[in-house]
Amino acid sequence: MRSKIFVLLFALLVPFAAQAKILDIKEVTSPGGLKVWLVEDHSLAVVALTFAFRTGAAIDTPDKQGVTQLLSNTLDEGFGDMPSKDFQGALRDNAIDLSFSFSRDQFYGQMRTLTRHLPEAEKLMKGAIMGPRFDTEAVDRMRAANIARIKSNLSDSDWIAARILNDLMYQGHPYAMNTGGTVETLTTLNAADLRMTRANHFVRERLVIGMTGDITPEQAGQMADMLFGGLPQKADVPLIPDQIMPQAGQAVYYAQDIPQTSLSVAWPGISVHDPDYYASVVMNYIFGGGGFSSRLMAEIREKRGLTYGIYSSAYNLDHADRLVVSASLLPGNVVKTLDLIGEVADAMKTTPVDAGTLKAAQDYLTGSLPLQFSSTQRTAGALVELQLNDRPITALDDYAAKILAVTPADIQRVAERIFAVNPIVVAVGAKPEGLTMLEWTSIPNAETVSK
Amino acid sequence: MVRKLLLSVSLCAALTSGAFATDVVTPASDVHKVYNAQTAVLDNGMEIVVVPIHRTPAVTHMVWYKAGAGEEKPGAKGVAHFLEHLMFKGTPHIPTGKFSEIIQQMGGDDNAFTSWDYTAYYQIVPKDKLADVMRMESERMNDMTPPFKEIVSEKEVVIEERRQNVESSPAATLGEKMRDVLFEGHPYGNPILGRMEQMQKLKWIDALQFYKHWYAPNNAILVVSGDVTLADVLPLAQATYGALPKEDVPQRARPDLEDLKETPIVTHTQANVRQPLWEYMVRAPAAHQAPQDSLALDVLADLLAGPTGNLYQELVVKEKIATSINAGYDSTALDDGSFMVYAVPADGVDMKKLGDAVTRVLKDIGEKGFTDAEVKNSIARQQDEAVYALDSLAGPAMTIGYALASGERLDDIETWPTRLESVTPAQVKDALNKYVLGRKGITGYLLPPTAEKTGGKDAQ
Repeated sequence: MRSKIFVLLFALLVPFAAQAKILDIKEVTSPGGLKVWLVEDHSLAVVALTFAFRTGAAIDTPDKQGVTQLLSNTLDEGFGDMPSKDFQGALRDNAIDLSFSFSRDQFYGQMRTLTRHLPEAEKLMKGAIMGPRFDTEAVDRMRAANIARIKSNLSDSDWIAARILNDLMYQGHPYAMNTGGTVETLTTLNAADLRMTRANHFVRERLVIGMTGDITPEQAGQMADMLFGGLPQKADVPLIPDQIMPQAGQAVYYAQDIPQTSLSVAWPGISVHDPDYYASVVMNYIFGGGGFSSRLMAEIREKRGLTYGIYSSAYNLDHADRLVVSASLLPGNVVKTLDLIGEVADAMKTTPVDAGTLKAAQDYLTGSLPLQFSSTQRTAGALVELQLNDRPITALDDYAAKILAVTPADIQRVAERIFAVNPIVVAVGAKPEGLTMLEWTSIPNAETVSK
Repeated sequence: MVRKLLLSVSLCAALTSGAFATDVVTPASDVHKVYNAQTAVLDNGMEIVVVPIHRTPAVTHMVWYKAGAGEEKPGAKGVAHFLEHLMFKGTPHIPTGKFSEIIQQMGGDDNAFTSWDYTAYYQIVPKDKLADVMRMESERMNDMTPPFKEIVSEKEVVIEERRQNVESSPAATLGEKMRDVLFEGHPYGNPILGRMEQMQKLKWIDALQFYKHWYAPNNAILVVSGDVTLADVLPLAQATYGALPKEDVPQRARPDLEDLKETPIVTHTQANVRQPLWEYMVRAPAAHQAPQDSLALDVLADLLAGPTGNLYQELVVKEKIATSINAGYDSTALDDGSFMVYAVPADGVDMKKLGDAVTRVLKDIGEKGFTDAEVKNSIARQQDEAVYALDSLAGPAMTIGYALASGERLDDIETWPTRLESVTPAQVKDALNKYVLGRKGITGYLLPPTAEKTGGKDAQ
């Protein structure tokens, strides 16, 4: 009886049928000329908004590192004649989620509210965008919280590894800075810095908007105009240059008194605008991005028990791309693990992936896409990311065809491109045995600005 | 088939006092329910809960076993979690290492987690794959067969998990030390993964014994949330889990928890610590132990926590002796729940001074209490927040499974926002005085190395 069931099971493993639209995305142009991507869903009385400006922490100057971070922490500390406590109280009493965040290339705002509190949510978001108070008390409080965050992070080996890797990989480029700021720079930042940074980021020509939930196209356009209509069209900000790849093959170690070594191995990556981008997505899934299905996980965790987990991830920025493998393991296992990572990378270049492996990767990548839109906020966020990557409104529905078109030869080619150079290796924690590495004794852009 | 469906449904009606709804039966009660979950019980005793959410053509499928680290024998600590790992190592029809691969080929994601009171396995898949994952999960409920060499290497994996997530994390290590004192003599005081010396002794035979004792359909809860109804799920459940035999499962037997005799302070210092942390943890009743007190504690935690809460407003905004502070109440546990306050001291602030200030703020409220308006507002906003529970695919299955496996009843989970309305300011005040202030709890300090002797001055 059981075996019959299982024959059926394996026969049913076909890719997710892609005939229906993944999301019904409408492009709405507001009366004031702002573009909104909208997914209407009236099944729950909830509205979500995500927006982004196409500038992020990379436009902070080295001596004001962290100013974009501090801006994201102080916009929700009151506006006009409404001080921090009243603003936070209004959010809380109306169950409104409202927050700001940022990356190296973007500044984001997010809001989620019950439909019946939408007018209040709009009022609070507009106030935060247009007239933040930046009271000294609030700025000082958020400064202290950020400095405490950096000090807490000083005991986190992964955070330290990221500081060193950014410094090595992006040396001489704005991306080498710490987006969260340094103790030194945060100490000097003031309300005038925040006002100037806000003015630099908040311009309509660099704005993208996504909305989902219980809202009509007409209401969506009106909300966009209400929130952003008062912003200037443009502002001059420094252009971020494309990054020139640093010298490959560097190996840096930072000592920490913990039982494991936190290992990061980084190569240059493939841009989201590159013709090989979709091949790189499939390649990375097979290599180390696919969790329990990946080759790195199979070789290093499943077969040998060397680590709890090993993953490779692509970091695609506007002006630089990288692929990073990370894992935590005993210092005596670092050399063996580096050798295995090298062997798996070489195999991606030299041996075409077999049809079964390719199909499994394609099945996951195409089949998992519709599952990503499980909440209003995630959907609104996805609408913004699509626009930031300059994708067409049909991109979600086109995605499967692009993934399915990837061949074993494409994967080999993209692996040749990525793994052409020796990687940069960063080790933090227990000292790796049997490996010569340059030892660093300070963490760049953590407490003080790295020169 | 239809007759059997109705039979199962009526069986469940008797068990859950009418607190269910299905496609065939209309709910009798008009009290607002958060999830409008549909329930049934299979003939072998396996409970089924379905939360229909029709926004994405996907489902979250979970099986919760009512057994976790709390059921481990003295010589086999950590074995519940070790077993959870071995459950991915093969069954007669699913080769070693293939379980997750098969799920991923469906476009899905899967994983599992272990706590003191439960072990849970889940898959998030397109809804047309639900039957397949139910076949797979039901097979490993009864037929797990890991090869020997996988057992050996997986033991190394869980040991590395502990090194990575506990021994390299000063805050996690402090948390272990605090639980060790607060829950002394109770399984809640022992780490879920086990201590390092306990993990070195992990054995296949102990994992197998745990599996045979506790993994059975009548000790498991199936929770499915997503684009299905009970009418879709029940026949599939009968064909898969329903084919498994009912087994004799032991009663869960836990030692009683005793009040601390004093208020100890536990410190943890590690070379890489730069930022001190202050924590306080005290036992508080779980929701199923003292329902009304638990509701009052929910309101108390809401009023104390967050940037508008009393603790933040007094100690971060006004006095500036902390850079952040928060409070939380964990009401979901088979044995006692807990109430916590945790803070980051401002630069140079002594730990004792911070602890005294927290106590002062709490005692002040313990005398004055909250106003009627404050309590009403707290209840209203928590009711609003409850609407967001359905703005998620996996969230409802997680919340319901967690609560049911920890001794709560579905009816109580469904009606929580409505029941909250019964809380009065006097009850909130009493809950604060009775539990948070009235019981002795454990204080924890995370300190940089040089600060240990001076009692908490930040090292610069």
